[in-house]
Amino acid sequence: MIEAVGRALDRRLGMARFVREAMNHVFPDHWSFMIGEIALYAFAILVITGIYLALFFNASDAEVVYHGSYHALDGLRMSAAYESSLHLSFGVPAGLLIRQMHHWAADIFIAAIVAHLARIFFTAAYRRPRELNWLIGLTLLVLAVGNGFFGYSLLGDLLSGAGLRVGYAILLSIPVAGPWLAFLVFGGTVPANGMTPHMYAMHVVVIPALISLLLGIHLAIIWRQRHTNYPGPGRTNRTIVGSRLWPSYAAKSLGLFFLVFGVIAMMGGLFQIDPVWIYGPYNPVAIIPGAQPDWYLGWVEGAIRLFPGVNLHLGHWLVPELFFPGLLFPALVFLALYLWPFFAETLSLDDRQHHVLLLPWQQPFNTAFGCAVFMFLLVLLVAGADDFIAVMTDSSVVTLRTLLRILVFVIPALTFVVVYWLCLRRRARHAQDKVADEAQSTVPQERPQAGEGPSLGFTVRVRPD
Amino acid sequence: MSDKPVDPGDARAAEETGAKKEPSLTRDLARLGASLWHFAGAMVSIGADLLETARNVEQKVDALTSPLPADEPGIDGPIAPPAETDRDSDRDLGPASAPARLRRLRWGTAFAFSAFAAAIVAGIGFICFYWTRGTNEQLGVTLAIALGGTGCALVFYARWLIRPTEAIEPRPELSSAEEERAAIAHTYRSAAEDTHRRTLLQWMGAMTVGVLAAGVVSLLRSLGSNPDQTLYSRVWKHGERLMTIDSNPLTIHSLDTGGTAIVFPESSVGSEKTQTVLIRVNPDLLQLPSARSDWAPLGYLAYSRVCTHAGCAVGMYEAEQNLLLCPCHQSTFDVLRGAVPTSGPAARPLPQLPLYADSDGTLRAGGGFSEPTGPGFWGIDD
Repeated sequence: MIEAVGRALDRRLGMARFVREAMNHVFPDHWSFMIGEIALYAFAILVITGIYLALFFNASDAEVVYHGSYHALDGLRMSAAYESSLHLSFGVPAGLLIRQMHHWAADIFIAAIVAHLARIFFTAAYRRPRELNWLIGLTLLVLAVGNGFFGYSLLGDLLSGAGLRVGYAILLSIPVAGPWLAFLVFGGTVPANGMTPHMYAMHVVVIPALISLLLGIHLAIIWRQRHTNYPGPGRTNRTIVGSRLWPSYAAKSLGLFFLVFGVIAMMGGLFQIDPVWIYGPYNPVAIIPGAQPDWYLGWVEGAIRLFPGVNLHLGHWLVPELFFPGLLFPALVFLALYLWPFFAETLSLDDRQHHVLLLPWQQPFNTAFGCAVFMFLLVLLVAGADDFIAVMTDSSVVTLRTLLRILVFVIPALTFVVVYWLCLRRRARHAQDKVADEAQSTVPQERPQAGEGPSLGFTVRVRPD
Repeated sequence: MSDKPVDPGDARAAEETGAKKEPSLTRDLARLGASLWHFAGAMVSIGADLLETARNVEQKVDALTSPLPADEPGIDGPIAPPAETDRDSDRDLGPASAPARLRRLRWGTAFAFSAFAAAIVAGIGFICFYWTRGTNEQLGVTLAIALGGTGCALVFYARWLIRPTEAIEPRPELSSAEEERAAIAHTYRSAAEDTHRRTLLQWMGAMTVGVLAAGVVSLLRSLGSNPDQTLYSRVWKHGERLMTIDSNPLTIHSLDTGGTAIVFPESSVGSEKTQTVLIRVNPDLLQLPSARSDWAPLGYLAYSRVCTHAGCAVGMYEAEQNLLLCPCHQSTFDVLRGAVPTSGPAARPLPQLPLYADSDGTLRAGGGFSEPTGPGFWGIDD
């Protein structure tokens, strides 16, 4: 049956050669190579669940009075968007499951992209010829974060309203063009009619289309260039070592898809996320203490909180305090990430092609620097919830914030020193082992004879420290 | 297969007539029985294997410890890439001995079968829960087991039931041959030579594209209004009464010292941008700038409730310290000194509204806010 279809297709399209090559395609076996796949599959799950949600969601700012199945909010004024998300959560069987799966999948999608980015960074996989895919991958991260923000801002609840106000204020703070940009994106001051339809079009059409396009290019480039290999026997710049696409890699990868799907279904079923009915509908006068964005924007939130209240006056023009941590800082972080492969290439005077990865300890500066930046962002992420921590630890926000303003620089500095030292130590030990191994292979050593002792199947190496 | 319940007699009759390809329940049941029998056999032999494995620890350790990785390879590794891409050269990573192979097969069968079976049962459970309006937890867990079971089964196949091999292939040369590039350059140039009026095409073409692009971008203008009209608004007009959200006017008797209220100008009650916080403090404590000395009759102060930092509602008031607090980023504003920021990320004071009480004690705005409200922007000081 499959053979008959294949033959019929091949007569018309002549794809036997490509399919044969594809089935023989070699993929390296290493767990860290699955992180990118998890991101890919999370995106597929986002599309699947998102299509289902789109069948029920009403992206409208029109004001309605609620009389639905969630009686606690009966008679309240709310947007039609919020009403439809309540209906989706309480009136549609399995609607809440799909909605929570969609939200969890988004968080996992972005987490997997970040972990994938870290894997690429710490193994120097971005080196020539893979700079292009580094740039595309980063763009995918930006798009994913943006779409995550639009996604949870659509629902018209009080929390997303707070997030939108901050988003509007950040856009408004851009020098010169800010007011125009803010009014074009949000259709006026928040909350304005038209904002939700704008975001909805971005969330379900524009950004997913861009992500699909770039993801396709990302995969096509990987397909063309082949994966990198971790260092090991037989792994050189001229070879690729691993398992074939058909059948073993296909089974593994498809299995991973179902596993990711299963985990997301489990989370959607058991762990509550974004309970909009608890927040209540958006109301300009109401406040929501302890409001935080989703984790992937938490580091920007932290920067906004820690940055001192300093305005920049240029003549009679103003650059508001929010611009620096809210927009300039994340822009600089991403600019640095975009430029990193070219910076590293220039710094190491190495523009050769590399297909064998470096281990983190083989590049002490990069590893230490990467860890320091990671810790910097982590402290900011913690700072994004400082009011929460202050309440839990019964301390004052002002004191905690002063402490965090110090820690945000001290912890990365310490991290850099410690990681750099660890890498150097590991490298020295490796060099020692190498010398010892060479000595062992040239000078015949007395080896235990078979039968002298129990053979464990591996050699125990005593390292002189 | 038909939905009607099949009588075993009918099925046997069908078999007797020799219609071998007709679907039959008995044969399916027989096959299922055989599968279960095989499965049971696999489980039994796994038990035996467990006992046997205890005696084969040494062999297992051998199999589990792969050779230590060699040192970093140079540009040219020690192993020359094989010339062919066929699978014949793939290295078999599976165990060499027949019993070990059999053991893999049995374990794999048992695990894959169990995982698929769990997935099928959970999948049926999911459907049942869906139709009977099960809880979110029931739906989620059954769906998770159905999907996860399928995933596990596939992974078990890859792990045990597909021959494990390691392929070593030469990498393709990424850059093209110089001749190929030269050929493309030649084609491109010759095509250019065959085209007349190339400069016209370049300039007029570029201009056309530019104009079209500008036209398309212009369409975006329809998305929003002109910001100037609303951003600079001082919101209140002279003489407007201070209204609660229920449109009740406030008077000098409305608040006690330390009390607060959310008020709006009577022309736009309930709007985001016009929300104003009214506070009554002890007038002796006031430290307002001298120009604002008459803005606070009887200690009534009014400030914009939209934070100058990021636009949240400045919704909390600490009467003891006379501080307004924004719950979003914890900026605090000193009410007594014209709401200047005292801590947190805000840099600009909350705009203040001049107040006066008319002859019958109703509170009214003495003009607009001292500055445009809300978060800062490029031209706010104009």
